Amino acid sequence: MATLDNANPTILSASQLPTRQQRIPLRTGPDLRYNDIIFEKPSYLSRPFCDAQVASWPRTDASDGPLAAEPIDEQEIYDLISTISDPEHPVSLGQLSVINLPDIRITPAPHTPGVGPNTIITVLVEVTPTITHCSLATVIGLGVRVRLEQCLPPNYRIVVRCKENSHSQDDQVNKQLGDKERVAAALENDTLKGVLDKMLETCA
Amino acid sequence: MADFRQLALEFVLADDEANQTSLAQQAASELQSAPANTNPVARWVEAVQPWMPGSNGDEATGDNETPDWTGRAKVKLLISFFGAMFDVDHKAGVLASATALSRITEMKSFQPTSADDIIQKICTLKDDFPRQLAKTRLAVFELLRSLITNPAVASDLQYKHGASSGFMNDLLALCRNERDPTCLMVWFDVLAFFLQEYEPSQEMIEEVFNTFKAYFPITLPRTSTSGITPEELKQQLRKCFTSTHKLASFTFPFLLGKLDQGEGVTVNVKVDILKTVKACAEAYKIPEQTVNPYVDSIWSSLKYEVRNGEIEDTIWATLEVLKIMAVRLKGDNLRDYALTVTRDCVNDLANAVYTAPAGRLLVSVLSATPSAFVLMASPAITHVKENLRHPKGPGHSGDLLRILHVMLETRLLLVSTDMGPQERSEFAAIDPVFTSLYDDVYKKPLEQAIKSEASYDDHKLAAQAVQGAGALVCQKAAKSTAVADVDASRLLPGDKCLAICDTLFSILEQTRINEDLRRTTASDELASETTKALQRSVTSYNPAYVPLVRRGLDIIRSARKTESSQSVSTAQSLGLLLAYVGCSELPAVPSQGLDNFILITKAMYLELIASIEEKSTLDSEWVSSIAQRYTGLEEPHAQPTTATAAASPGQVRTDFLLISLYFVRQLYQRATKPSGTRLGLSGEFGAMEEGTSSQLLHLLGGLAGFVVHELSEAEQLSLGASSFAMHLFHEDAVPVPQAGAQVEPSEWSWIATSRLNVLTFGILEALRPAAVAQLYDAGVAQAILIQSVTSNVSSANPTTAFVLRAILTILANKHKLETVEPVMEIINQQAEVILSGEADNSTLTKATSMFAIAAGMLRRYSGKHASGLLRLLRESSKSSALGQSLSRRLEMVVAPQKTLTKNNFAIVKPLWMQKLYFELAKSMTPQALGQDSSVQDRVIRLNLSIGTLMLVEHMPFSIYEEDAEGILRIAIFVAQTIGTGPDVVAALNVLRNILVEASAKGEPHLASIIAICTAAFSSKPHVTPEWLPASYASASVDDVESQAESCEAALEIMGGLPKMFESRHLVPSAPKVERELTLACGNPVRNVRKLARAARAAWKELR
Repeated sequence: MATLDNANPTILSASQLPTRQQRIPLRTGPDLRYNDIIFEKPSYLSRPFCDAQVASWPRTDASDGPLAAEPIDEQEIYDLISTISDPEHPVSLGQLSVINLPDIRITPAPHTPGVGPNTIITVLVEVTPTITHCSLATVIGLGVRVRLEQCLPPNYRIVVRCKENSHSQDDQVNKQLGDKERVAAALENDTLKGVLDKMLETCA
Repeated sequence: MADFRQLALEFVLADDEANQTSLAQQAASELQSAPANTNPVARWVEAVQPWMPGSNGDEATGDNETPDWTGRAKVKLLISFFGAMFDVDHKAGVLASATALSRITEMKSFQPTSADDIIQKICTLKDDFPRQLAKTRLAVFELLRSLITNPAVASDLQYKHGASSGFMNDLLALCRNERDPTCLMVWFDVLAFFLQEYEPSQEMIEEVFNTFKAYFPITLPRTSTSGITPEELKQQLRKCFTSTHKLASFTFPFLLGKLDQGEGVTVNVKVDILKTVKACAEAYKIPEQTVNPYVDSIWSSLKYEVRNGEIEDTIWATLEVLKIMAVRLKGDNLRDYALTVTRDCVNDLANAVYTAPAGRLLVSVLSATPSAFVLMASPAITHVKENLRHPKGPGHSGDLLRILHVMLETRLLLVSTDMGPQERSEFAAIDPVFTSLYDDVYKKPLEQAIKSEASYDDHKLAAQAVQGAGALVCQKAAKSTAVADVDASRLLPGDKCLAICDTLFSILEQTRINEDLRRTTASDELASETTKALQRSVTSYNPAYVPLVRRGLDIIRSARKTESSQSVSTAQSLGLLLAYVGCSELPAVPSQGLDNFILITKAMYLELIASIEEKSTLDSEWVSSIAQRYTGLEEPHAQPTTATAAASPGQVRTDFLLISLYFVRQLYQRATKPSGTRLGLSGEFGAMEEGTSSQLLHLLGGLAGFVVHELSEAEQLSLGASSFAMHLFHEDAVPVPQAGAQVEPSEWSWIATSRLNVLTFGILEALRPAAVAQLYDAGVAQAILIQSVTSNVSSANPTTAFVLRAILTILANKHKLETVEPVMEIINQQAEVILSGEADNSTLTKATSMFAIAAGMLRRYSGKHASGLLRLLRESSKSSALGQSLSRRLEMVVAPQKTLTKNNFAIVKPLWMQKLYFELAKSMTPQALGQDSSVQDRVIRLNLSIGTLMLVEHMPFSIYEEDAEGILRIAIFVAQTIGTGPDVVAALNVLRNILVEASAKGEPHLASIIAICTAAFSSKPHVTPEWLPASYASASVDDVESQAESCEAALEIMGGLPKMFESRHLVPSAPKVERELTLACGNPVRNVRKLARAARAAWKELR
């Protein structure tokens, strides 16, 4: 095997990665274990035994439930791409800090009112190669782009760039990643396609 | 000289009898008169031979010739004639001659002196003998046997040949190579008889021994068809070995030599050798001369078979040999043998690996005779005890205890054998060794087992020890088998027996207590073994039974007083134990068995009566009694005192429940206020926000339900818990009707229709069926049921209606409502009214109440008594006015609810869902599919379809598997017709279940399935058909929940399709689906987006 560009990268553990936070973190101690039973909503107030939304029970915040509407936000984009495997090491891009939550930007911002399914939304992802001369920065960028194209609806525009000053040739890399023709051509390349498939295997 | 050939021919050709007789007489006279050297008989035989009908020459002779052949001289002549045949005409005549000679030797006039001649003649066969057929040889062998075993012949032969037995030499030479099993059976018989009855010289004995030893070990060819089993053959050969004690000097060295050959000896051979050794040792006379010289070599050869042996058959055969030697030896010889065995074995007792074999060796020898027991028991026990003091591990102790146990059992057997006075006094001399055994050996492991922290190994060891202890109690004293006094005949004193029985009972008590917590195979074994030992001990020592019964009753009594939940099982298990121990076997004095029976039966009877009569602490006066016992409960600021502190955990629990109930009572009284004989919510609720007050009332009901739920059925009944549901603890203001009194339904409508029905519901949910029956006795349940189905019980607060439904469900489930005629009548009537189509505003409410009743009733499955109700369920969807609402509410009947779980004492029959499907959905499905010509209206078909889906959604696939095809079409129909909403969610859920269980059924409808799923998750508005009334339109936009639910179900189906079907079915629609899935990736709900991405990936892999 050819020598690795970076043989000894810094790897974050899973607990150090950013995750979606519970809005109201509930403590689950031994003294609270009967809470569910005591404060449960009575069965006669749920479908099919009641046939209307009733006000006679303190309404829990609807946006808490699993079926609440939540727009695609930076964390979701992060979750989609941080699980991509590094082409060199058997760890994810998130663990290598190639993908960082602050380097993902969505415009217009997720909770902006008036954003509909037809609004063009731009997702900007800046990757940080582990070393400034990383030869695989383009491949990583391409992987991120492919993954997002597979996962996002058509009204999303994806821009993948190297973070400023993170790479000795970042303008070259950015040019390649921004050029639709070259991206399309790269995906025709069987070897490159194989590498990308391998990287995306670990994405849920 | 007569021509016999001619005479024979004429005889055959002669027509009449007279002619034949004269010819025969002529031949006879020729035979008589002919000179001896012309051998006339031989010529005659040759002449008649061709005309013989069978091969048996003897018969022919008898048939053809009438002359009297029984004369001595003639017999002699015959013998010399037939004897000559062996020499002359071998092929044809051997069998005939041998048979003939056999007959001759049985004749009266046969002279024993001729036997020698016959034997000599037979020996002339020499090398021709082995060439004869087996059948021929067998005849010869049988002839030999009949001769040699004939006592007269035997004495003649012995007289003639003396000790040298020359004739035998020739016979041995003749028969040396015999291999046929049938012949060998006879030959071995001859040899054994010869050795046993003749008195041959030592050389002759050796000669004979060499002959038969060559056959050992004998086997039977697998192809043999002789009908002889290998075991018979082995036994016959063994008979040769055991025939005379003079063989001893040959057999033992020979057999031991065979045994010591090592690896080449198979198990079968080894067992054969050992059995032969045993048979020899058993049979030889004068054992001190024949067996004794070989005892040492046998012992040193055989002990390893047991010590290191692995095959049980060999070990057993070896032990038999060792035992028989001890039986045969006497006096000093026995002493020496016993000493050798003891010396060799006791050292092995210290080694955990060899303890068990050493024990088997010891026991096999000492169990042989009382004398051997006397010699060996004492040193063996001493060594066992010594090693028990320093065991090498739990297994080692177990083995040692097992040895002791077997020795005790042996003593039990030996003590009742016949012994001379001398022997008996010797036997009694070692009694002290046994009397101390309990304290020295058994006490420790038994006491260890009583401890609650006893380990698995402790139990294992104790299981062994209890058997020994049981056998010890049963021991009789050696001296007094004849003594009538049963007490004096025991080895152990009475108090020791009592102590052992008491300890055994303690072990059982401990294992019983541990039963639920720490049951292991060892503790189970211990319990069973202890029970057996105790039964044995009590049968042997009857006085031990009374204290055991007393102890058992004490335990039962105290269990009854303290822990109510355990008391039944305690009484049950101890009753069984005591009955088994005392009454399963008649003791030596049979009347004692009857005494035991009376004792235990009477005790249990009295105990039962006492427990029935005992008054429960829980009664209707509970409020005053608890307030009295815990003063200060009533005063808000006083420190509650526990004056009469509860003694047991059971009592604490009861008091905890009563105190909780006391506070529930206070809270209920606070929340309600009486006005007349009715109750209403107290004023404080008016000021509260509605949601908060509902929650408060629900929590109150929940608390009451919790307390009532924890009460047992008997407690619920004795406290009158059902009345709590009626008067809500205002017993003074609200009189509970007497059983059987007439109750006006409207009087009790407040319980069901006002907001405080949540409080009633809380109690009802936790009541057991027997308590609910009291509500029916009082007539209140009927009042609530009738009121809710006959009048419009609308309330300002919708929650009240929902709670009422739950109450109706409980009342219908926990009591056999169908037996309450008046209510059933009204329900059936109302069902007719609703179906008749007179739809007003209240009809829907009434019908919903009926559905709630059905939900409770059908869990018990009692449909045949409620035909009206079932018809309502079946037909309600067809109602043009209410069909839509009612078909959706069918879900109430099937959907799982907490109220109807076993935990809440609901009655749920195992197959209720199957029966419900059969009663309802089975008839609705064809109508929904338009197969019934009476139902053609599309809206009604849609209603029926929705109803069917609502029923089926909560059922496992196996129930509706038969109709899955139709139900699949119904689901597609509903999903195509209606946009998103609860109905479509049900349709998609059913669709998903069917596809998961039987995806092949979906193949013909694949295009439709893809279309409806795509429609469900795409954002495009649904196009409703023109015929569909507006009320069926898709769920409103703000019903996010059902929209998201249908999106999820649809996307799950879409994601599964590529795995279920071959790609050729899906590829045509792939581009459109992928486009829609891409759009679904932007769904506002996160979980939907996740499913959409998974489905998108699955579809992408199609090509």
